[in-house]
Amino acid sequence: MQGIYSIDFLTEQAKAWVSMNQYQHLLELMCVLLSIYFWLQRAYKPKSKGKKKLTREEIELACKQWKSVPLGEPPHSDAEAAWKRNSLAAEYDYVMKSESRETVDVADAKGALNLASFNFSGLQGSDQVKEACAETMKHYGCGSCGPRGFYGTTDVHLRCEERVAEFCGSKDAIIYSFGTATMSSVIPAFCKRDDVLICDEGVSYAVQAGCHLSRSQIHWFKHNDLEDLKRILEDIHQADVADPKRPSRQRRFIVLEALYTDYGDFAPLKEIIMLKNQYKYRLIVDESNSIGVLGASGHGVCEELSIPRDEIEVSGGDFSPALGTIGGFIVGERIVVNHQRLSGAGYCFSASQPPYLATAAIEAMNLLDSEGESRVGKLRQLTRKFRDLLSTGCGKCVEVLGDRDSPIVHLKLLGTEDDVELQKATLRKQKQLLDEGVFVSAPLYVGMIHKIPEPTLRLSVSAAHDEKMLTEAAVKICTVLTRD
Amino acid sequence: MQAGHGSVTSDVGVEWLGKKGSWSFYVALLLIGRVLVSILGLEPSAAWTLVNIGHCVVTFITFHWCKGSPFPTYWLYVPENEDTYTWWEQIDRGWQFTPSRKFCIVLVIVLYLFAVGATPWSNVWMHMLNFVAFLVSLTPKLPCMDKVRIFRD
Repeated sequence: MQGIYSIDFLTEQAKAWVSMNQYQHLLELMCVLLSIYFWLQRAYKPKSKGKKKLTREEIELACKQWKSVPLGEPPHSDAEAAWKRNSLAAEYDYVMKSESRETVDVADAKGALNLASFNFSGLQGSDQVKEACAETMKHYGCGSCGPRGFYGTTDVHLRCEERVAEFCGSKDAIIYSFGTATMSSVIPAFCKRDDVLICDEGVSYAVQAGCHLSRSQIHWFKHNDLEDLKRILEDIHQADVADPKRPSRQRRFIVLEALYTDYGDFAPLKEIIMLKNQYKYRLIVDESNSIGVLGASGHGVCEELSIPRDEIEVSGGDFSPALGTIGGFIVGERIVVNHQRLSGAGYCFSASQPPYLATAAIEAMNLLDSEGESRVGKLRQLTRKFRDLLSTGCGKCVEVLGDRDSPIVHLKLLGTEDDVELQKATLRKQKQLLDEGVFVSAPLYVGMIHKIPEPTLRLSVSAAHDEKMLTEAAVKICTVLTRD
Repeated sequence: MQAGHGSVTSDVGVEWLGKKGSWSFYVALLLIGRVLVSILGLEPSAAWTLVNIGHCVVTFITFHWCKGSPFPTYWLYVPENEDTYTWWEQIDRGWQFTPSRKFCIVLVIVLYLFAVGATPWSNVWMHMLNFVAFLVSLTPKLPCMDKVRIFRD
């Protein structure tokens, strides 16, 4: 045998090793011992080497040189005004002691007429909806146990999405687990930094939060002022002449509410659609309050104005005002909906709606379709009647704000221009009205919204009310508001 | 996107030495170097010495001279002051005598052991070169030299 595998070769090597110099053996021994020593060490985290200790003089000098910097920006003047207004409400404390139906027990008042909650189609607490919910609950349990992408999707959710799409007359729909999170998720899903949002000043907090979260450029136009909108569109159009590639880089949206919560009026949607087609914008419309209110059977603003749903790229909102359940929805083209399944923050990162709430939405839409006349038609009739009574009865002391068909009625007290005084008076009137057995709300606004609406009393008509109740209420409201 | 919970993702550019297969990769690199050197036709003594010195030079530059992350991973969490520390100081978040550190230390000693065994005692220059290379590789790996700067700041 030859080569390094042969016994001879190995013995030769061993002999050579044995006959090596003694110092070489010593070095080898040292190496082996060192290796063993290092290998047996235990891991530890070294103590951080301390910094040099400062002398007393140095510390004093540093203290003298230190200048305090404000912890944050001083509050925006609007925010301060809002804080002043909101702090007035601290002395009033209204706790609802019964289910929120057409009459409620609030604080000490029993069976007051509820004009404070949004319950447009009167579906809150409907027995039919409750039965359907109980059936779903028996089958699926209470929660959905995860976000839609992770085990949180049940067939009920999918059926609800189909039903919403069918109800609104769109190609596809997506449902969110919470109404307020809907608009604040969908706007950042489509608009990023450097995109342009042209936004009505009167949109509600959820929409404004979405606009801010998107970090896009926001241009505000005066509430329902088409001239102002046209001016902004024209300004941007003029700036495009200098940079003709800009429109292809930017996504541009006009953001609206179909029925404004804080003002009770409708957006001039037809005119805005003409403008958006002219200037090549897309439209985001919050339909929270218009679903179940507008259109012959409550199918929303598109049915009311008989415009195709495709004209509005993104529309959606909250289930709670009209459909009486928790959650939100967005309808649009399939591509608009599918985009949100991975980029809608509220869709991806929060647990999906409990299945029975989705059932409640389906059942509510079924009821609206089958009893459209007795709910949507009745609501419209009651609204008109109620508004007429208020504007004739209250006369000069009160301004009735909002559109004739809007079930959200804002009453603004006249006589003072100062917002704080007005808020004080409004809150006092609210208390007096509750003593008379009519529960209305006096909304407070957070200081961070763009333009804080004036202090008003907000009344909302519901299909669950009847004419007699509202007539009595209108008389009471007029007496309370006209007396000093 | 990381918000609060869970452990921080480590800088894979720094921490790859602790990953599966990297020790065998290291040893394989050295063996390949040794084979390449013997293809040149050098004596075993010269070959082991060359490998020892080459290893010393390369590791001194990569482990102990260059600062910052050897393979920057900008998309991950980057520890504070990373740019002022050498790779060796960042390994295992600065813990001493972790398995991968001990592996590197023992590897240096074993390389020296081979070089000593292969070199005849009469060749004093080669022994001296090997010893210097051994010291230069081993000293900066010791815990007492952690964050100590001798040649430059």
